[in-house]
Amino acid sequence: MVKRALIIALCAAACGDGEEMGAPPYAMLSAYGFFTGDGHTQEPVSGVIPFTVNASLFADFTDKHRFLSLPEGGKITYSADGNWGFPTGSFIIKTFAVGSRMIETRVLIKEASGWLPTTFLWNDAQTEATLILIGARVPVTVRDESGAEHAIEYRVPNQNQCFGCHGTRGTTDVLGLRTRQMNKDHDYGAGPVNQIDHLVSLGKFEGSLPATRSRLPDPYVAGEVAPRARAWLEANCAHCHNPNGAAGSTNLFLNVDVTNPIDLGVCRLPNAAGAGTGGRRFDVVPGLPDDSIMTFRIASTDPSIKMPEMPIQLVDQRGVDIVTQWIAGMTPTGCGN
Amino acid sequence: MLFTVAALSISCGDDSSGTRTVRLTADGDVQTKVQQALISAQEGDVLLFAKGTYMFSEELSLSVSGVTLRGDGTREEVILDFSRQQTGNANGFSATGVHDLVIENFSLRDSVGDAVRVQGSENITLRNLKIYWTAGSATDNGAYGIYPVNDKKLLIDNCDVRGASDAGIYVGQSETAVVRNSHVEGNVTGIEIENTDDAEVTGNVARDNVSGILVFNLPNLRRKTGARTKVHGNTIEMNNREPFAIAGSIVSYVPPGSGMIMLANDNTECHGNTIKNNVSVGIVVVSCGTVQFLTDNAINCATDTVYDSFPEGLNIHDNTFAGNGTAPEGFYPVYWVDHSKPFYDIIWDGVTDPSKPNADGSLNLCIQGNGSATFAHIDPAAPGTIVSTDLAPHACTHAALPEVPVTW
Repeated sequence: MVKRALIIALCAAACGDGEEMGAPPYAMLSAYGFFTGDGHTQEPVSGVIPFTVNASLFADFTDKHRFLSLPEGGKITYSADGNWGFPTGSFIIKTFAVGSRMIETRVLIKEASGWLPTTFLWNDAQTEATLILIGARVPVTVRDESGAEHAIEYRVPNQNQCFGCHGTRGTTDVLGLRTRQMNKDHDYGAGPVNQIDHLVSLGKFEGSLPATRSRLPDPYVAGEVAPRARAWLEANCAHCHNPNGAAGSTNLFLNVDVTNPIDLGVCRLPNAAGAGTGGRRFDVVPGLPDDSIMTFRIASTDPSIKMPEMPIQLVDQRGVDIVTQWIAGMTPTGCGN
Repeated sequence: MLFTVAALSISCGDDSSGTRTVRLTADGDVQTKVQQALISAQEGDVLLFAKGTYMFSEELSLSVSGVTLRGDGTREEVILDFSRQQTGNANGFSATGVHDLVIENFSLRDSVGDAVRVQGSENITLRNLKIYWTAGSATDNGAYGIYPVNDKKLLIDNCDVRGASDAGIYVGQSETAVVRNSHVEGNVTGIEIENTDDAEVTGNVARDNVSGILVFNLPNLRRKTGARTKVHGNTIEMNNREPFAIAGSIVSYVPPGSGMIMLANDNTECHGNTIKNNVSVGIVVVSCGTVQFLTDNAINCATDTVYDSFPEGLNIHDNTFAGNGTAPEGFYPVYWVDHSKPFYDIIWDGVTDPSKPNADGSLNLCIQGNGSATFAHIDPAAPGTIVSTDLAPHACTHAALPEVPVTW
């Protein structure tokens, strides 16, 4: 009871004048009207468009429901390789769930000054989600790809942790809304269609789009190893490990368009990894995954070692495996000694 | 709980500028209430921490500018404890993308990661902070005490850092930074100024670290330059601690017993320091290539085409050296030929960049006015070979660097 009162107090703080139906962010997710009913089935209303991505961020085996919403007449600015541009008044919505149990719904709100990250915590009755900027811990039991259960305290990120991945205040951006992530099929109810083509048919893009569009593989689906590993690294690491990201100062850059081997970690000595090295010298030693810091860190749950830092608590073993295969498949040139 | 709500009501109040004080106490769910105060803070707010020990389970983070965090008491009376951190970001306090931040008057202890991290920020003051790990100087400690990176206009004043498994006080990839009147002891390195322009390091005591003060530029970092660090009026003594950095980390290669290490940095002025009783050497000046050679490729100098591996235009003058070099360790002993005398106060690898013109001598290593300090120009490619011990070629000076005015 006290906890609930606190949450409400926190939301009042976040909502400024407390006017329930003023400008976003609203205190309750239902105020946005994204979903039919109370929203716990994640059935979107007309105009709220579901989507999925090719290479998704690992989130401790939780399920995700993603949607986008544009303002009346608003259009997306296409980019071949970068993030798409969205008009003020757009929303990007992502719910994290365990089966039918909704945990949190994150809403990125496009304001004139940039994106505002907000998070809504679902109640136990699954009838409403409430704005919570402070983060939360929710005990859940998740099931990995083999069916094994893991009891974890799921972390709902606080707002600063949102900035950690989505860019600092003022430079905040979307992560998955780019061509190579969105270029895939989705079934909107009448059979699979390409998501980008679907948005084009709805008139959601500014201008016309090129016929040839980049595409990431799904790292978890069998195929050529290197592109899958690079896709996994982009999805799970590159939001920090890019020149403008939270890990920009490391100069370890993991977007798929990075080609300079040292920037990718090949024979690269870390400068400030601390315990994260595990006694290994180089981020990536071609041909030798067990000598590479990268595999050590992504396979760890120790907070002084693990990558990515936030918010996960479990290891994505399939991701570790594909990165391990990628490094093992490199020509073993040695790193100079 | 009442206090928390009261604090929040303050935060929800008017939007007028001016200082408002949000009072925080060490009782109850401090993780939630302090993090909430940080998230709902507004420009101009002072978050005042009452006396007590605050037990945090996660990192504290700030993304709001113009905020002051202040202990309401001595720094020993207000303790932010991070020993219960289990997951997530594992620094103690982290600020990203803010300006006009002040943190002062408290202790931070036992962070799993860095104790204080400030990134991509401007006009920063970190004052009267005490940072330590209760295990002493242990490999499992967090890496850095104070870790500002990619910042502008940074003051670290009157801080005390002990036990960091990398640097006690680090300044990296930044510009305009002052580290002064601080005490760093029992860390792997005391103070590091890395790929940073226009820093001033003054009035500090670096004692009993593995190595005292490092001014250096490393390859393969985003910021490439590091010039004009003024190191003066410091006491750099007894930096002879057994190395305890985790194997594989680059700092694990720092040779113990070194008072000061200058690596590939430019235009550093080092004067008026007391450098004594460091068992290997008082000051070592080296190029990146030498470090790569001596550490069996612990560093990649040539893989960064923009990086300049040569220390140039250094000015080491009017320092006091005493009692250094009595038992050199690391790669030094092979150059210690005459055991009837201590090893040298200052050594230099003699490596210069043949592609740069230096007719005006502006790139020279100048060493003068250091009393009876001894000097050796060693041959890094021929272990044991001393090229010269003559200081005459270094009897020059460069223009004094100005002190860095603290205008923030």
